[in-house]
Amino acid sequence: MAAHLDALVRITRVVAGDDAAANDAAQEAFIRLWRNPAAFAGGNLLAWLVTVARHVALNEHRGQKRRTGRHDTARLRPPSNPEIKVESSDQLTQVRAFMGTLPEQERTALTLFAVQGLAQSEIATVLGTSEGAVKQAILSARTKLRARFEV
Amino acid sequence: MQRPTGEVFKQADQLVRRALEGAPGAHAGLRAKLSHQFSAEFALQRRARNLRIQAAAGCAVAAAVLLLVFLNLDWFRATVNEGSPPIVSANDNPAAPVAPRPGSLPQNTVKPDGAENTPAQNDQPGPAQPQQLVQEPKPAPEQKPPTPEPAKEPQPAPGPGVEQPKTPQEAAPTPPKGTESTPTPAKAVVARLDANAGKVRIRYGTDDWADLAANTDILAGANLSVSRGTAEVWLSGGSLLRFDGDIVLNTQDKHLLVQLESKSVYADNLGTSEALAFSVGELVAALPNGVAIARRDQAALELTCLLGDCTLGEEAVAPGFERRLTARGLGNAKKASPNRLTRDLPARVVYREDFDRTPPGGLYGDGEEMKDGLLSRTGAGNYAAFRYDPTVTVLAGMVLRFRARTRAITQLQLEVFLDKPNDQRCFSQRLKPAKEGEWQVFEIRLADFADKLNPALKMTPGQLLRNFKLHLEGTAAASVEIDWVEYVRIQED
Repeated sequence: MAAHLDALVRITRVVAGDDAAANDAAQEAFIRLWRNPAAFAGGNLLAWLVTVARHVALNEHRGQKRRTGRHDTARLRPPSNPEIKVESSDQLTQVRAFMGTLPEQERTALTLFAVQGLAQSEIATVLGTSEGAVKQAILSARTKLRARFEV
Repeated sequence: MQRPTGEVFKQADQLVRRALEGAPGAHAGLRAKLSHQFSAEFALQRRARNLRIQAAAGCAVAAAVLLLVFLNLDWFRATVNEGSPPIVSANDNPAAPVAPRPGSLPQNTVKPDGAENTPAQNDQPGPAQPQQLVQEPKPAPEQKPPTPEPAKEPQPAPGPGVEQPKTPQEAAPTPPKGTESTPTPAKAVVARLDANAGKVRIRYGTDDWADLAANTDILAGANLSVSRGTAEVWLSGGSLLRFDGDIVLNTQDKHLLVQLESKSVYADNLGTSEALAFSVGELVAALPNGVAIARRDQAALELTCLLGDCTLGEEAVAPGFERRLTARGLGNAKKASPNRLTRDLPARVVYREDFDRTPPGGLYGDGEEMKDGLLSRTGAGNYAAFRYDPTVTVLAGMVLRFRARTRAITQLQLEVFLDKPNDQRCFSQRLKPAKEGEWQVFEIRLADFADKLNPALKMTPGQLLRNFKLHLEGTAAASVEIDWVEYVRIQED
């Protein structure tokens, strides 16, 4: 559980863009698995946990949006000036911050693909979309990342 | 713009990987929180599982207890049935009396002094007396030393107007027919179909219908149906039912319940201790002591009270009135309208003594003899007498009948005393036998009895009678033999 919990929190943090929301969503995913183990039909357990945690996080985000009546523009929109010069010591922190500026589907797809090594089909299942859309999301995220950090 | 290659994307992926793997994982608090929550969930699940186990164990124990109770009850019933006496019915009772012939005055009847006597003909007591069907078995007639001939005189061949005393075996009803397939031996006999009934069908529960023979015992739970005309049923307590549709007879706590499936039923339990109730669905009428007609009209129950105490729902219905009860409530009382069920009703025996054994109230004639089912007395100035037990209640339309043979009698004087506290008050009637040495039935309407001290006073319904006392007038050789005495209620339209 410990290994999956750390990975799940990291991925969910990318999805939710918020540390507390990521912890809550990861916790909820584990509790659901505990209460209803039969819901996990087999396959990649982390992908299943991510799917649940992502839904929890997005639902929480939508609920918060309904309650506040406004968007969290800082989190959902790309930064106004993407040409900020990145210092190497802070580069990893800035990459994480930049990931938070990508569209949710793109950042989740890239995270699952690049960090967790999930196949595009598994990512498509997590995101509830097609493999083509996943491929396109990953390509778009990579392109933006390359443009931003000149890699 | 240079198209990005796979190597470039790998660098981008590595950058993301390094960035995210360097990010902190789950909070220590989250681990503790999850651990605590899982422990709590686990405890909850274990508790729920224990509760389920306990509940299942409880159910299993309860089922086992019920099974044991059920098995023990079966064993208990089997034991009781083995040790209990068989059902007593008139079939088993050698002393089973016979009831009067339905209808008006029997032939070969001697009316009170001054009244014209009818020609003597066969006297046939009517339907079997049902009063003793569920009573304790009567003791067998006292064993007498064997004699070459019965004490009764050898009877000549019965000619017109002369009737032979019937033996109890002659009056014994036929065994039940049409119900052989119904295994209900433990149910009490509640009724018997009248000997003169028309075609009646019977079934128990969902059994097939079967024709019901006359004089057949009817058990509790019987569904009776008469498709045309009417049929009469004598209940075990002496009550009379006449019905023209479908009824179901059931015994309940303290009464016999007549469920009306269709049409109507006439009931007369006046003077009996047999409470009746009628029902149509949830609607109920009660007849603790009276005469009434209950009718089913779809889901409604209508009750016409003819005599006595009648209750429909929670309210009384006065004699001569009828009311209607539905689920919505009780209707107003209306004056009773004529009903075909009251036409030509059979006579109902209220009390009967056959002298097959000493009357329950005892003899007190001081010299009378009881032998071979006859009560005998000789000598003018003497009398034959016995007490009723229980007392007889005077009912509207009641007559006193007795069958007797007289010799050298000029006149008989019949006296009947009231029960306490008016036990010194006596009603009397003078009778003249029509034929010497022949069996005759004497019949006197109670309304014709006069107070001995004040002849203007007559018997009235509700008075309690306690004895029968027959004085002999004639020569020293005067004698009288009495075969039976009975009080019969002649139903009035």
